[in-house]
Amino acid sequence: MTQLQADNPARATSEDWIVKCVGLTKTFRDFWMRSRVRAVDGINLDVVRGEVFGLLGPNGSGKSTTIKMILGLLHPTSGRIAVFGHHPSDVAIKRQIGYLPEESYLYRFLNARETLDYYGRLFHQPRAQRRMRIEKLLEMVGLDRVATRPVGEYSKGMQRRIGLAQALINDPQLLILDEPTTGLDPIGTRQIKDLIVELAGRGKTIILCSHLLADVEDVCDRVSIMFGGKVRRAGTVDELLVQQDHTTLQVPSLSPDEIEALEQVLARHGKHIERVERPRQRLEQLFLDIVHEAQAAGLDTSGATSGGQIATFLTGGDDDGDGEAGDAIIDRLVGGSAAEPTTTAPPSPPEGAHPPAPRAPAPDAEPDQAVDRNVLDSLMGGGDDGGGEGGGDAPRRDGKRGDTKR
Amino acid sequence: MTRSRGFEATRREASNDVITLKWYTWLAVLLILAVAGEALAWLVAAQGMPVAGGVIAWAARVAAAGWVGYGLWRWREQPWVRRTTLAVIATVLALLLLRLCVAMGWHGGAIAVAGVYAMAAGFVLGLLLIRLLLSGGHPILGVARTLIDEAVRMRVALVFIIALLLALPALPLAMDPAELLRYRIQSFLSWSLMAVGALLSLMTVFLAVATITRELHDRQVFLTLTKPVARVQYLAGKWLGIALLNLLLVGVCGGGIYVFTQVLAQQPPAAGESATAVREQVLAARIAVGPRPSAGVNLPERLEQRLLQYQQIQPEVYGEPGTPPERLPGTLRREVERQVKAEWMSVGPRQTRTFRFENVPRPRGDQGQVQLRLEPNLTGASPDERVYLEMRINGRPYRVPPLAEANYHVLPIPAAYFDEHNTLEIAIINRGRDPSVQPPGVAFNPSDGLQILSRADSFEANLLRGLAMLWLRLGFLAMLGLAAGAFMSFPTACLLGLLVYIAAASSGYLYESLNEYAYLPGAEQSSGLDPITAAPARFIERLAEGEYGDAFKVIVRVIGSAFMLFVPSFADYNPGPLLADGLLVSWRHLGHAAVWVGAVWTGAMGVIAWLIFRNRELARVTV
Repeated sequence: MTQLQADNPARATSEDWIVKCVGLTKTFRDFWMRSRVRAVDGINLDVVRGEVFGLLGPNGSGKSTTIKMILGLLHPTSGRIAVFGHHPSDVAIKRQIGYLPEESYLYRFLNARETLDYYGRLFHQPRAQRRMRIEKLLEMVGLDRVATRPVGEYSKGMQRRIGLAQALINDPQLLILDEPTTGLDPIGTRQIKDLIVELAGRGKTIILCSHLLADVEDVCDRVSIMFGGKVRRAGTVDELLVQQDHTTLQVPSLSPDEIEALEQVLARHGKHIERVERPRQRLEQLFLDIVHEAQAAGLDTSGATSGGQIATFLTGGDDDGDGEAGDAIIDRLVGGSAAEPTTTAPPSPPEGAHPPAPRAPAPDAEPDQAVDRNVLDSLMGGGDDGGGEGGGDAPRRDGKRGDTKR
Repeated sequence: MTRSRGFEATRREASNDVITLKWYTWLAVLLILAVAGEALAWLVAAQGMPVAGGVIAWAARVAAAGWVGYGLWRWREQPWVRRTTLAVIATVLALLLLRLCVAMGWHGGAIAVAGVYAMAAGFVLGLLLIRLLLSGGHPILGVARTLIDEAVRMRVALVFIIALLLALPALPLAMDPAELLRYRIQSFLSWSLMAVGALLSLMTVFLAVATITRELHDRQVFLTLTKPVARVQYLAGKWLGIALLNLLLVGVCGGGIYVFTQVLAQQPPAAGESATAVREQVLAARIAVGPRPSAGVNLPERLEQRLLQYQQIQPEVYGEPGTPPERLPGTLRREVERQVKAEWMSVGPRQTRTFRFENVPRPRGDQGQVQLRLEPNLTGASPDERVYLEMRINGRPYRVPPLAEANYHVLPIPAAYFDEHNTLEIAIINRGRDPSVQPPGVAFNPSDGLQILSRADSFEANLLRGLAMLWLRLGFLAMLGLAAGAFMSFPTACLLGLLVYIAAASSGYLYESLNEYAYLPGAEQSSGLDPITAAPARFIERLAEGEYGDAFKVIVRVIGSAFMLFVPSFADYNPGPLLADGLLVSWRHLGHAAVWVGAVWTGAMGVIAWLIFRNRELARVTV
């Protein structure tokens, strides 16, 4: 799969389709078999290998129903679905799928470690591999210190974290996330977004179902916007959001005189400045900075920690790896976890400019980040994921893609 | 890089205080405190300082108790520490209670406390073993293991498990010590097996229904079945988990029943009762051989004569005179057969009746013996309610003591009475106590009022086979609960499960009741398809005769019979009465149960469950 194909699914080959829905319809009937609700109405969806696909829509628009049909939990009334080229009820394809539902559907009586152990067993994972992955995932989602508490005692955010961990236990090729950031604090939200970017960069395909538009905008390559069971708009994020008739310049702060001079120059070209404003820092970034400072001051919390490095088996590392690669990238992946606060975050562009670059894991990028990326790339090295459940034949995404878009 | 390592170090330091102390370190400290303290105390006391020794011993115990409490409080999040601490506390409490009971001279209480502790310990160890067995990386094993966890951590099953572990050791306390010892043992066996069967059956139905309906309702099944788990594997895993839990509970309860039976058997027998006889008659596995008519008695001929009489009186019921017995409805024919046999099994005043027992297993050695089990019922008044009989076995006189009426009696028959064909021909003479007074007649129940019992196996092996039969029944109930839960809500599925269980447990009575409620001529059997195929003709006939009430009864009978088609006859596989009477639960009987209950009924229910679950949509409308 190439970037071009991800941007333009029409040019993708049949081998690149991960999910393909044609004329998908789901009608719910009442007791008397009368059509009651047409939840999904003849939609066509194509998700290609290696892309982050956003499924947007308000409540009741049919996103979750679509997801459940893709997963085989609901049967389509008409239309066809192929996942990895097979029917969704095919058990074999589920080895390559990770699913985070919109709510916690976990066993309340199991603790976090037992929960992951259970789901690991379902993938026929041997004991040693299960243990290693469980420890790495618990650390990654920040639940290693509360791993022996029953999941039923967890807060909603902690349940989302363990839910995410179970979705990743098999190192899936296709990750389906249904409202993944619901109930999470901004740190957790940021982590999940960074994780999505990272996994996509490693060749995983991700379907993100959400009504939190900022989340989708931050990480998705393509989106489909649903309403009333139909796809109303579809395309890449740029195609849908870039205003072709406007240009935003970002320059160091200008005085009124300089703005006046600029206005005169533009007037000679028949243009004028419509709006002048100072860019604002995003609230998310401000919040993260405050939390970093509190953590640096040593203040403790009884809940989940901020999470650790991304599990090495997810990034193509050896299942038995010692996590050194993660050390190299931890700042970038979990900026909120750093002992020292980040103070050099660049301001976000002003309104009307391009959206925040997707695939940019953290806005607080620093020069040493390039080193981290190199370390990570050298570790991943385009090699196969030996411990992955879904095989390692997925083409690796170019890690610079996000930067390119930025 | 530097920042990230600093953060990791901070995280690890923060969690060090929780994970540094391993459970085995803590346990080692506890054991050292307990063992070393006691040893030191003993040494000091042995040096002639008993007071100092006592002080040291108590100081060590207090320190150990404090350490246990500290472990509970400080490292309660560590599963092993928590479990070990609870085990130690339970052991200490059991020992204290045991000591208290012994000090009070309440030996029954001491046995009950020891029993509860031993059974609970056995259950916990068994659970660990099962979890170990299910630790492999396979979906069926994973689902089964999670079900085991669910059973012991959620309330549905735990209530039944605790009730069982408490009730069984308490049962011996409820036995009346004034009763004959063999009756006490028989009562205990009967009650304990009934309690185990009923409680485990209820638990199985509730657990099977709850596990699947809850997962559908709370949607845990979404996650499980979006992993590479086939729906049949999901059902198989659930069934396996319940079956293994039942196996453990049946094993633990069986062990408890065996131990408490042995404890009861050690008690002194009542006056005039032989302890050996108790072992021979109750703690045994005996084959029962029924009587046959002796030469010169033709029961089929008597049956024809009796039928002819009835046909002349009521030809509309019994057919025209001369209709052969085999053309009569089965229920009618069996009823007349029973009458004829009952008459043959009664001995009139001053009469002699000879009963022939063929192919009786010969006892081993010259000292061996078989038993004649008889229950004589008087057909008239007797001043002392006793039966006075004389007997000749294979022509040799046999002395019979006076027998209490309407009670079972067991008379030993030594091997010397056997002939070379292993046949016993027993002539029973009803002379009465006083030759000058005509005695009342004596009748024996045609089914089991007169039997030769021969020991065939040990009580232990018999109990094992009985428990295995019980487990097979539970396997069917587990699959039934899963099938019901696959398409019904919790209360509805429980209701269906309980209905089938009660119907299965009382199937014999239900068949008889349905037959009595609406008699269907032409229905050869009370069970099976016969009542349904015979019903339409009877229904039309009743309607034509204007007997609308009877016609309605036929409809009810058909509905009842149709329901019973889906119910296995547990009455045919009930080991309780056999074990309580010291009768053999044969391998053949167990094999029959394995084929019909374990394979056919459970398999059929499994297929139904799979067909329902395979095609159902797991999610619901959420728009």
